[in-house]
This record gives sequence, structure tokens and C-alpha cells, in this order.
Amino acid sequence: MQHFLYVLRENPITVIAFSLFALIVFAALFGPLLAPYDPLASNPARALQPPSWDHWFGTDQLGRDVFSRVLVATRLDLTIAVAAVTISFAIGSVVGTLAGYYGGLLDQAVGRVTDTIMAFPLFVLAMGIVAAMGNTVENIVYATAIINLPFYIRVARAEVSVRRHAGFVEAARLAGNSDARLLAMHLFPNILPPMMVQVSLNMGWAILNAAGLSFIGLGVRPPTPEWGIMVAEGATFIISGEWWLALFPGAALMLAVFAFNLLGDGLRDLIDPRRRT
Amino acid sequence: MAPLLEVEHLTKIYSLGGGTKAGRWLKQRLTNTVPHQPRLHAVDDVSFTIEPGESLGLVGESGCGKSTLVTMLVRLSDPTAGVIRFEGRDISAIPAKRFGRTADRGRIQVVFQDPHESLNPRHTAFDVIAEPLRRLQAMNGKALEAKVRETAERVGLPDTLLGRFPHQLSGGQKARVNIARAIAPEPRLLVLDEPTSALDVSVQAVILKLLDRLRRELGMSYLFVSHDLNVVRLLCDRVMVMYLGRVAELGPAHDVFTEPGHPYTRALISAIPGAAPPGGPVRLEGDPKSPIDPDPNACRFHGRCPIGKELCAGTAPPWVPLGPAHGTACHFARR
Repeated sequence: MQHFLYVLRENPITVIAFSLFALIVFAALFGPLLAPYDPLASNPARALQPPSWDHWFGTDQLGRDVFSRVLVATRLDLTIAVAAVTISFAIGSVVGTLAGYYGGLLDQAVGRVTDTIMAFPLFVLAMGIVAAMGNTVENIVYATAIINLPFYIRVARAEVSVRRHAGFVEAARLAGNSDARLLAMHLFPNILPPMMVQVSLNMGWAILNAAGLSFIGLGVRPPTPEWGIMVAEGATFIISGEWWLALFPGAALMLAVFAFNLLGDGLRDLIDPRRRT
Repeated sequence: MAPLLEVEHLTKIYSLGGGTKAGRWLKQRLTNTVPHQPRLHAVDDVSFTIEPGESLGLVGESGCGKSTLVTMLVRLSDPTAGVIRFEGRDISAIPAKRFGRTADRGRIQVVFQDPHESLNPRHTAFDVIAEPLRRLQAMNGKALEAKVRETAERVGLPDTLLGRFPHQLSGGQKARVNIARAIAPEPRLLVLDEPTSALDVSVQAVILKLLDRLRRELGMSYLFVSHDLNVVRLLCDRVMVMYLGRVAELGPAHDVFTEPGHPYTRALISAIPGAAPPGGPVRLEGDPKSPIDPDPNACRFHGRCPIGKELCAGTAPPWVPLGPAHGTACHFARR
């Protein structure tokens, strides 16, 4: 805890990142309770109203409150991103660690598979996966997890392979650790800092990816409140001057990506023991 | 008394190149030839013993096979051929992968070369010293804590430093933590892989004194790997000189330094600043021959040797005894 406060004092940007992150998590947890209006209730009488005291972010073409919809959408977007990143982190760190440690045929096979995934334009690959597997939220999660996987495998592999002959690894073996224990208890904790940075950067990217898929009509379907759909629907109204429809969900999206990108550096400072003095 | 460690004809050969097994098989099928696979003789037919409580120095230039020999002795890698007997038991029969589960794991320990790199950055000094005790002797709680404190005190590591992470310790303190980690499971054989080469000169002397004291106090045997001959001369009872994977000379430290039998040993002694080797200084030029596919019928030192003759190019030198427990592999050893 003391160390946490120290890291925050050291770097003011980390304070901003953690506050934004806290805000996003808070919105995701309590958004549905806090929303002033039902995000799905349409009210044709109040359609396309500009932002006002009654409707902070205005209303959309069906008279739904944009603020409520942006707030409620946080949970869905964050859930998709967290689930996808958790899957890629779990699989990526295990596969990458094994490939980096044992090398040889396993390493070559894993390398070729990641190269193959990377050879596709990743967003197009995600589109293809969702289109082929069916238009559901789970499939968005899987697609996002698959396209993020190579990054985790590569980071884990590289970090493990530079350390596998380090003195402390040999020392752990001399202390009677089995390979599995050595990997889990000695090597893996040491590759956590770069992995956490990857997680944070990826989280923003995963949110953007989920929103992007919804934007082009894959995955989450209207009328579910979701930032990507809201931007897509609002985009048609920008020409006629109703800018608030697309701007506010877009800003929420940008803020979330921004927060996660900044968070990466702060997390590394927190986890890296070398920063602990 | 029976020797603590007996090493007989220990050999480590690495097969090089040729890609994967499948690739070689395919090439063999397509070209209808047996592809020659180069073999690197890292350690070639090395035999020696270490007595209980004895300190054996191992010297030789970089790439002579010292490290390969050490990793085999401490059972972190498997030899290609040969036998390692520890307290009379053949420990080379147990694969390195399974050796960690045997009772002998704690009895052979190593202090590695770089004290910083040998400490897990995420473990405190206490964790580092406790790890072998937890894993090998299933210690925990009060007993573990007492043992860690006792070991730390033995190596002169203040109690207050036990909670620190490696990056918060000085070079000398890190060296002490490493030594404490190695002696915690009470080994009989401690391998010191250039334990002071990464330290400041002022700290080196202190650590060497500590090591010498620990050996006498705990009755351990040392295999002291170094290329600092002065240190070997001071701390070791016997010296083994390696050249290109082979033993060039083996004998009591005093005899080897005053009456070196092998021209390579003479060259090494000449390289000590201020040394006056018997028979005048010897200077070596060039690099050692390649350890890949060495000619079995030639002396490894031939070509670089100041006294090399035709005989050396055609016949591998036999082991020539020079005195009690002193011998060398040279056709022209001075008796």
C-alpha cells in the first residue's frame, strides 16, 4: 500500500490513469443503478434533443437518453475486453513460457502458429472468426482473444528465453525444484512486469476491437447499449447536425483506451521489485 | 579414506548442426549419403578425485570445458560417457532431471559466478537462503527461520539485510547471500564457479577469506574454478589444468606451481604478473584449436605449443607421472 502511494506520487500521469481506471470500473459496476433513465426506453416525443440538464448527453433518434446508454454500455464493453484479455493472457503465458523454456520443436511449432495468426490483418481475422462462428458476444470474446494471443506468446517466450540460463534459475534447480515448479514459481513471476504492461495496452485495444466489430454490425446487436453500435448509429446523424449521438460514446471509448494505455506504465512500476526502495 | 568424489573418463560431446532429426533423415534419403555430423568435444575423457575436506583448483582458459565439466558434476546436465561417483555411489546413472529429487541434491551445491544474476530479483535474501531448506529438507516455521538466521550469521550477513531484495544489496552482500544459499543444505561438495570474478578487488579478498574459513569450519570439499592463479595457489590443495576439454596437468598446488610439467601450465604461470617460472617465461600465441572433431591422434596443444614436435602431431600424449599424485599429458614432460 505504501509502495502504491509512492508510485502515485512519483508519476502524476499514473494518478490520472488510475483515477480514470477507477471511474471506468465504477461505471461498469454501478452504471445500471446510476443511469437516470432506462437505456432501452424509447420516447419519440423527445427524439434527437441536444444535451440539456435533463439529458446530459442529449437523446437519440428514438428518444433514448444517451448518457444512460453510454453509462450502461461500460459494463458490456469492459466485460468483453477483460474476458478476452484474460483468455489470451492465460493461454499466451503458458504456451509462451513453455516454448521459451524448452525451445526446440515446440518453440518452432508455436512460432509458426503465431506467425500465421500475425500474417492476417488482425481485425479482418476477427471479423472472419465472428462471421464464421456466429454473431454472439462470446464469439467476439473468442475472436478478440485469438487475435491478441500472439502478443502474449511472444512476450512470454522472449522474456523466459533470456532468463532460462540465468544463475537464479540454475540455483532454483539446485534447490530441488522440478521443471514445473521452477517455471511457475521462479521464472513466471519475473516475466510478470512486461506481461502486465502488455495486458494494459491490450485491454484498450480489445475494447476498441469489440466496439469496432459492433460498429460494422458484428457481435452485439441493437438495441443493446454498446459504444461501437452507438457510434455507428450516431454517425448517420452527424451530417444533419446531431453530433451528440456519436460524440459521447466515442469519447467514452477514447477515454477507456487512453486510461488503459497509461495504466501500463503505472502497473509496471507497481509490480517491478526493482522499483521498490 | 575413500574419496568424496571420483570422476572416471567423463566425456561430454555435443552434436552440432544438421538441423532437426527429420531434416537429417530427409537429406540422407534424398542425397543417398550419410551426412557428416560435426561433434564438439567439450569435455573429453576427464578423470580425477576429490578427497573429503580437500580443495581442488580447476584452471584453464575460456572455452576449455570448465563450465561443462561443472554442470555435469553438479548434475545439472548429463554426461555423454563416464562415471561420477559421490561417496561411492554412482550418481551419473540418475538423469539430471530426476537428480533434484534425490537425497544427494543438497550434498552437492554450487556458488555461481555472477552474484547478482544468481539471485531471483523477486525474492528477498531470506527467501533465497530458505528455498533449498524448504524444498530439500521440508523445513518450515520456526526451525526454518532459525536455520536461515544461523546460516546468514555464518557467512557474516547481518540479520537486518535478510528482508532485502537483491537490488538493495551491495556486491559483497549478494555474494554472501549466494554462499549462504549454497551452504544452507549442508553440502559435502561445494563447487565455486569463479566466485569472486564479478566482485571488486577489495571485496574479493574478504569473500575468499570467508570461503576458506567456511571450508575448515564445515569440513566441506571445494572444487574451485578460477582463472586467477594466485587465488588457486592460496586456497587450493591440488590443481587441475584443463586445455581443450582434456586434463593437461594435475597435481599438488605447490608442485604444479614450482615444477610445472606441461608447457601450457608453464605459460599460465608465466602470465601471472611478477612471476618467474622455472625454465624461463613461456608466451603463447594464437588461439586454441577447434574443439569440433579434434584429431584423436594429436596432442590438443600441438600448433600452439612452444616445444611441439612431429611426434605431437601424430600421437596423443600419454599420462606421464611426475611424482606422487602429480602428472601431466605431455610427451616432453620434465621428470
